[in-house]
Parts: sequence; structure tokens; C-alpha cells
Amino acid sequence: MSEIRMKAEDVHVFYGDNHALKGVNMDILNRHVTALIGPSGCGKSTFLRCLNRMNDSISIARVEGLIALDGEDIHDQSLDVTLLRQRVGMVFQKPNPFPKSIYDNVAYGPRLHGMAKDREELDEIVEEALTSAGLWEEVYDRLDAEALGLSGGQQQRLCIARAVAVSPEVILMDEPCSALDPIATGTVERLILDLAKDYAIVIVTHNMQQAHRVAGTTAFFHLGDMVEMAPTKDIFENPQDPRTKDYVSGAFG
Amino acid sequence: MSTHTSPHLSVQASRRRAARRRGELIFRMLGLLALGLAAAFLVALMYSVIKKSYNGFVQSFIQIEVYLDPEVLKPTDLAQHQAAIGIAPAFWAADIEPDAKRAKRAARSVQRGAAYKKMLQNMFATDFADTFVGYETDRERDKAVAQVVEMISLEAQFQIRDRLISGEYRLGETVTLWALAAGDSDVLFKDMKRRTQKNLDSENWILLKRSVDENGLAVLTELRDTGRTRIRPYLGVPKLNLFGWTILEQQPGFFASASSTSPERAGIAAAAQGTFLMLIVVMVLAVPVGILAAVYLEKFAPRNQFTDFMEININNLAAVPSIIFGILGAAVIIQWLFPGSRGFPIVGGTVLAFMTLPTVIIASRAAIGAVPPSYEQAALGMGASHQQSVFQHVLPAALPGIASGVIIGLAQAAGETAPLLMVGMNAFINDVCDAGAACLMSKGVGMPSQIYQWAADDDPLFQNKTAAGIVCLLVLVIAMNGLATYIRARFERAN
Repeated sequence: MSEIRMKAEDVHVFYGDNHALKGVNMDILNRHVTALIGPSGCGKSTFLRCLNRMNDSISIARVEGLIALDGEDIHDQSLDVTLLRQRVGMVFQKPNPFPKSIYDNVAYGPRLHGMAKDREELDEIVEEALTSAGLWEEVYDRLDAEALGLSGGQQQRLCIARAVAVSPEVILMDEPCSALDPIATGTVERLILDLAKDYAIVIVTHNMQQAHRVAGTTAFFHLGDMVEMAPTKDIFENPQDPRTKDYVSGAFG
Repeated sequence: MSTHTSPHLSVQASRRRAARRRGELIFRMLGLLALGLAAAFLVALMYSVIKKSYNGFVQSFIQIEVYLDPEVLKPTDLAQHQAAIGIAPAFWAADIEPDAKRAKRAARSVQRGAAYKKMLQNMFATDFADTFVGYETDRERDKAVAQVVEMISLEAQFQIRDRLISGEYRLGETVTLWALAAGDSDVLFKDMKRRTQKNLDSENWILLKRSVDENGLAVLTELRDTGRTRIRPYLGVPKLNLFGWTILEQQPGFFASASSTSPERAGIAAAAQGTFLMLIVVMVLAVPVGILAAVYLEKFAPRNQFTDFMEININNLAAVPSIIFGILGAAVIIQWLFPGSRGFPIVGGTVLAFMTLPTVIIASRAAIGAVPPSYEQAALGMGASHQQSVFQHVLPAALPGIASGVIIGLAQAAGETAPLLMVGMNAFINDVCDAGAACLMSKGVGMPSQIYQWAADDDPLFQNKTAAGIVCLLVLVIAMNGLATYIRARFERAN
């Protein structure tokens, strides 16, 4: 088994009076895909957003409990949240490239964090990121074109390239394929499996088949509880909890 | 017959449907009526303004042949004056010596209109000797001629003077030129033109009792019948200097001159300059403050009662009558902070900036709020700070919307009259300021207050100038709004 990258212990989230997440414990493994599944409003996206503190921007959200990245508390006063987000990148539900060129989209993070000394180095980072997102072949001759002119699937892979360009350790994906057609979804799923060779990936998905296809470990959330977490095969073929069983068999959800 | 008839097929139901159709038809008709009325009013307004403005843009000219009599204007005076202002004097100035006192006297006699008026008088007395008969004394006759000379605008006298000084005309020559007609004769000419088919004698326009008397009328008629009058656009070109370079040379006309007591000489240039200067002040003050305030309120301010209070007040400020801002400017800026700044474009601009600020803030907030949160989220997710995400992604995406809001605010400011009246920007300005940035701090006038001033004059030509000024202001405001619409349409992205 690979080493533990992130660790969550007894994580509670409150939106005002609403207790949205009720004591989640989870280990996120390196070079491994962890899928979070569950019906709408079960707290899986909320938990994902805790991992890089994107909930900070919601003023009424309050997070309790311990979340650690490489053994370091991410809520520690001395930890800069921007550094956390460099190390824990995120890909969103809807492709959200900046209204800029393809090149500038990927180069944004490296430029922001001063990761390249000169233009050549930046070019290299951009090429590498686009290659690892499987997009280089399609766009290398039009890097100056508007990113918004790409197709939905290409835009989402561009967002993945943009996240990868910052060299994160963990990549969070919030339903990355929900706005894509089946062919683009397949491409992105292959990409996720590819990326899992280098990164810890946490993916929230509504699509149980997708979890089945890409994830090594799957966690089932229900009404703010993490009901069950196990190797994907076990969740789908031998669920321990009756709620999990009902959900994966399609009785509700 | 089925017993299960649908309730929708009953007589009552069909009546209800008919009533509904009728109601909807009436509503549609009323809507069309309202639209038609609005359009009719607009067309009527535009028609009357544009029709009236035509005579503000065109002026009558009279062809005159003047003998530049060396006995009326002393050649030595002219030469002395030319030498004093650094223009090579005519040949008979060989003996002039630089003498401050003489130069001053010479300048006075050259600058004064009396000499040129005398030349014009001589011209009329000779050319229209038949008209001026039956006077008992020469004095009475001269008076009658002088009255007729009033038909020629002062502008023509200045034209002769300037051409003499520059050496284009020489004393002793007889020159032919198209002289601008004075306001009253201009109005009569335009009237005559309109009534060519009618018998002029029977018209009662003589009863206008204007400065054109029986003699003048006779002279005018003769001038017209011999083809020595014409009506031409009198637009001109304003002088424009930028960084010491002359971009545009001045040509006299409506766009080149400042206001004047003689309507034919009055132009919009000084007012346009005042409005332009004020808009610069508005841009410098209101735009950065407004945009940054909007950014702060929309993206950084904590949500609490204080910010709610600020928000409500900003929204209310946008509805405050503009004259209140004028009173603020008069009471705070002019009476308290900078006494003596009454009528300065910088003060007028500051007041307009106060007025525009809420518009800019509200438009900018709307534009910022309309930026999809995904940009910000994406930037945050990559490790950008909140401020970076706002200034690098949200603000650039909102700029087209902000720009169009700002331009609409500026257009609103350009057309505002009441605050200008309160801060004294309705002075009579008969000279276009030529001092660059210092013009911000010399008495000025704005286009709306200039129009207001002209509108208060019952001279028919001033009424035409009023309409011409309104057309200029409308063109400016419509152009600005058009630009705003273009920017919005051009850069608006479907997200």
C-alpha cells in the first residue's frame, strides 16, 4: 500500500446552523484515486472543498476537526492558505478556463508562484502540463488561441493541465465530467488513471460507474455521514452497510 | 350524446376565453399606443430642434468692396503696430522707431473698430448714394449710413483688421470680401429667402422694429437683387494645440468661437472646452474612486449593518437631485475650501464627479457581480490570494461592463445643467481659453449652461444658436451612449 498523503480526523462542517458534515475520518493515499460518491447534498463536495480550504470563502461555513497534509495541520495558523492550494490543486465541475489564451491559462499558476526563471522554462512547464493532460497534440500549434474556443472536454483537460502545471501533490476533482459528453468523459477518465501514477487524486462523482472505472478506493457519503469507505470493488460488490447497498444497487439516489 | 362533456366546451368557458382574448387585445393596443405616442413626441422634438438649429449653423454673408483708405487708418500707425508685434511692416514704415508710447497709441488705433467702421460707412455712402437722399444735414445722413453699417457684423471689421495687420491686405487697395451679416440682417435675409415668391412689401416683418430700418431694407433688397448676398454654413474649426503642436488651425465659425453679445458671432467652442475639461476632472476623480469602491463593496467588505447602510446610501445618492450636488459645491468647495474658485471647470468637474460617483459604483458593482464566480474559484484553487483573484481575473472580466457604465455616467454628467448654475459655470465667456491646463482654473462655461444662456435671449438668431447648441450636446451624448453600447456588445462574453 502506498503512503498516506492526507488525513482527515473527525471533520465536522457547519453552514450556519446546518450540520453538513458529521465527523468524517479518511486517509487519502498517494498515487491513488479516491472517489467520493453519494446522493445530492450528502456532503461529499463539502468534504472535498475542506481539503484545500475552499470553504474559507464561504463566510458562514465553519470547519472543525483535523485535516493534515503530510502530517501537517492545514488549519495551522502558520500555514499560508495559498501555499496549501498550490500543493492541493482543484478541478471544478464546469470547465472554467480563464478568458485568455491556452498558453496563458496553463502559465497562470507558474507565473503566479514564480516557478519559471525565464520564458523557456515556462514554455517547458506549459508543454509538460499540456502533455500530461493529453492536450498537447491537439493544441500545440495554437497556444495563443482563446481557451474558450476549445470544446468542453478540451476545456476540462486544459483546467487539469492548469492544475498540474503548479506541480501539486494532491488533485481534487469536483465532478469533473458532469458537464461533458460520454466520449470526452472517457478521455478525462483515462487521463485521471494516468495522473494517478504521480498524484493523489480525490474525485467527487455522481456517476457510480465512473467511480467503478477510475477509483482504487471509494467512500460513500449519506446525509453528512461517511457511511463506508473501502476498496472500490468491495463497495460495489460487497457493501457492508445497508445504506451503501441500497445506493449502489439503485434503490435510491 | 356523451354525458361526459368537457367543462372546457361550455358556453361560459367560451365566453371567458373571448373576454380574455379581448382583454389581451386591449392591452396590446394600449401598449402600441403608448409606444406610438412616445415615438411621436420624440420625432416632434427632434424635428423642431433640428429644424431650428439649421439657421444656427448657417449664416448670411454680404459681399462688400471696401476701399482701405489710408486717410482713415494711418499707414504709420499700422506699420508701428506690425513692428511692435513682430510682423514685418509695410514699406512706408521705413522711418518708424521703436517707441513704447507711440506703439501703444498705434496699437489702439489699429485695434479699435472705429477706422474700419468708417471705411464701411464710406463704402455704403458711395455705393448706395441713391438711398441716402433727402437728409437736411450731412450729420443726419451720416447717422443714417451708420445705422445701415450695423448690418455688417463686427466680425467683418476684425477680419479686415487682421488681414491688414498680417499684410494680406494693404492700405490704399480696394478689397472684395464676403462679410458676415449681423444678427438682425441675417434673420431678415433668411426670411427673405423663404418668401421670395411673395411680395415683400406686403409682409409685416418690417414691423419687427429691429435695427434694420427703411434704408437698411432698401440696401438689403438691392444687395440681394444684385446677387451680393449668400447664405452659407458657418461652422469653422476650433483651434487645437497639443503639446505645443498645432493640430487644427482656427477658422471662424460656430465651432470655433466663444459666446458673444452679437448672436452671429456666438459659438459653442468655449462651452465645449468647458464640458471637455469637466469630463476630464470627472474621469480623474470619479472613475478610480468609483471602481475601487465597487470592488471593495462587492468583493472585500464584510457583510454587516455598516456596509448595508453604505449600500443603501449609495443607491439613494444616485437619486439625489443634481441641484443638491450644486449646492454642495457652492457651499463646501467655493465658500469654504477654495474661495474664489467660482466658475472654474475644476470645481464644476468635481461637483459632477460627486454626482457621477454613485452611477459609476452601481454600474461597476453590477458588472463585477456578473462575472462568473468560476474565474475567481479557478484562481483561488491555483493558490492565488483573494486579492489576486479579484484584480487579475474578476476586474478584467468586468471592465467592459464598467467602461460602459462609466461612459453613461460621463454622458449624464455632460448634460447636467443645474449644478453648473450653482457653481457659477454660467458666466458670459467671450473668449476660448488658450492656456492649456490652466484653463481648469479660469472662469468657464459648460455646454448645457451655454444653451441655457442663449435660450434666455429673445433674439431669433440666439434661438437658432440655442437649437444648434442642443444638437451639439445631443450628438455628444448620443455618441457616448453609442460607444457604451458598442463596448458592451463587443466585449460581452456568453458564459
